[in-house]
Amino acid sequence: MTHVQSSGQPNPVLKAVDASARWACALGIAAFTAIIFYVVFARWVLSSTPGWAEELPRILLVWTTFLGAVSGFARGSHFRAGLLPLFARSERVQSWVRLAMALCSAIFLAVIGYTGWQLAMLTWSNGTTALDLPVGLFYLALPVSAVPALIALAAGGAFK
Amino acid sequence: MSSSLLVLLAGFGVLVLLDAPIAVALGLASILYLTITDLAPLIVVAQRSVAGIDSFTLLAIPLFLFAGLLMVHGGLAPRIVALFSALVGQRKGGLAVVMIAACMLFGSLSGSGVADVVAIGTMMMPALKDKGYAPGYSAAALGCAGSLGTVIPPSIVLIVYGATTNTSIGKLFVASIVPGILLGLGLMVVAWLIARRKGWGGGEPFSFANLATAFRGAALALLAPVLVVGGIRSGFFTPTEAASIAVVYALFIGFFVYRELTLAIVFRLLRETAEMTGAILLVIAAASVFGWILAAEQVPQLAVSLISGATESATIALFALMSVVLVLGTFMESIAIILILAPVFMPVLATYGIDPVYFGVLLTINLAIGANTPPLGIDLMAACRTGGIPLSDSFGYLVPFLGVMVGVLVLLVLAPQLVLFAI
Repeated sequence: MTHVQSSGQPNPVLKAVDASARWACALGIAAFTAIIFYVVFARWVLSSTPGWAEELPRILLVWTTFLGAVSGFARGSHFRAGLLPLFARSERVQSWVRLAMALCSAIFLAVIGYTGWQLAMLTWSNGTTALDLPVGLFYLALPVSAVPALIALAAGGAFK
Repeated sequence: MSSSLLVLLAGFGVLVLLDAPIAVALGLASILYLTITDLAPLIVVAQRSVAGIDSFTLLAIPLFLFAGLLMVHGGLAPRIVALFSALVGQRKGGLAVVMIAACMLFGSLSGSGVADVVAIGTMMMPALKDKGYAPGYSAAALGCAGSLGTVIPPSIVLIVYGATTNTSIGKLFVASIVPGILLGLGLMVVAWLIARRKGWGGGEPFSFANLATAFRGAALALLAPVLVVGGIRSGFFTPTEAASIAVVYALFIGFFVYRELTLAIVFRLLRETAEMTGAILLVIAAASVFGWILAAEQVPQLAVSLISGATESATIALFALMSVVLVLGTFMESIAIILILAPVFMPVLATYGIDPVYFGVLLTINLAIGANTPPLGIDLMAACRTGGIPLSDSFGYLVPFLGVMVGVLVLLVLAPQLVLFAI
């Protein structure tokens, strides 16, 4: 295991996945910020609360969470305990363990993505309360984020 | 305890020790548990993880993160530092006191400990170094003061606690003000005593003209926490709505008053918020699968019978719960701890008649202490990184700072009125 860090030249696939996930998620955050601020404005100034006031931002939050998490897998920046170097001094052992943990992340993502897809299909014909959107739209965020996260891991995120 | 529950806990523990992402450790242990038992089909993983974050309240997290970043880069943070420097920066040890006070005020804008440490530390650490303060001392002071961002409202940790336990976030915010100030004052006294003994100096000499200029510059920054906490407490808006107002306020000041923001900066900060949101809320998503299994396994009931069998005193029960959190806090992420433990602790609190708002405040102080204790003291790590020193340099100075924080915690356990009078 010598290829711990492909320093200098980041994999172009990794870069593309990371950048698009961050942009999509950033747009989502900008959108729900604007919506929520508009709702406050509508309630106090226009004296009316739109029907989608809660539902739309909630859908956006679910999507931004999982899309934002893709960037964490691409950059290896998800929260960890950081205990490994305390009991595994050898670089070699550490890089093996890191690879094994990336595999664990991959299994987690695969399960999340697959069960998310199943549930999205099961609930697609049910409508949400306020906007009558497919309920499956919430769960679709899981496979749509799990696939790029897996690609990011394979393209080098695993070694970060 | 059933053997499959042991698999769940051991699986989680091993994965955390081996440095798997905390979210993956929570999720994979749950997946393992669901495959070896017939509790529920695997599809519950997708269902619970979405249900865990499908919440209007949790929208406040990315919004406060974004607002905090906008305030740092929009020029609010340096003005806060300038104000406290003009106020108390002149005396021996004054600069350390300035740093702590700035962390407290900035904590009331950003809602997160690490954001607080980085924002104030980047400005203050070089200044402290110039005046001869030992970097290890400055980092220890900065880490502890920055962690007050999780105690002083609006705190992301309190939002998660309120959302998980159905406790009023407005009450939590108001109840945490006095404890936050006590902690800050305690840290200042310790910082000042050490710095005075070592003879570390102050900054510019005092002048009323300086103070007046600094105050004019910072007045808009001082208004932000009043707007947020006041608005929530008086019922004008929910925490999430308050957070969106904080964002718009920060944008307005950054663009039109201080004129330090540009569209390019705002987009970069949005992308940074995106990554942090993903990291924090993925933990919440995975923890809600894990927590669902704990509830199904009746772990909360187990905790009640275990603790109530051991003691009848609410104070002792409280100390027992606190020590569990303190130990976990040394190596686990704050939000994961809250999501897993708060539902387990709620029935215990009910048994002893302990107020959940009061408990929530104590819990965040515990977590603030945990954020500065090795091995996973994320605030201390951020502080040392900001100061460019290894973590171990700060250990020698850490004990008095953590000591005063533990002291305040014990005081609040013994005198609950200090928290409860406000709600």
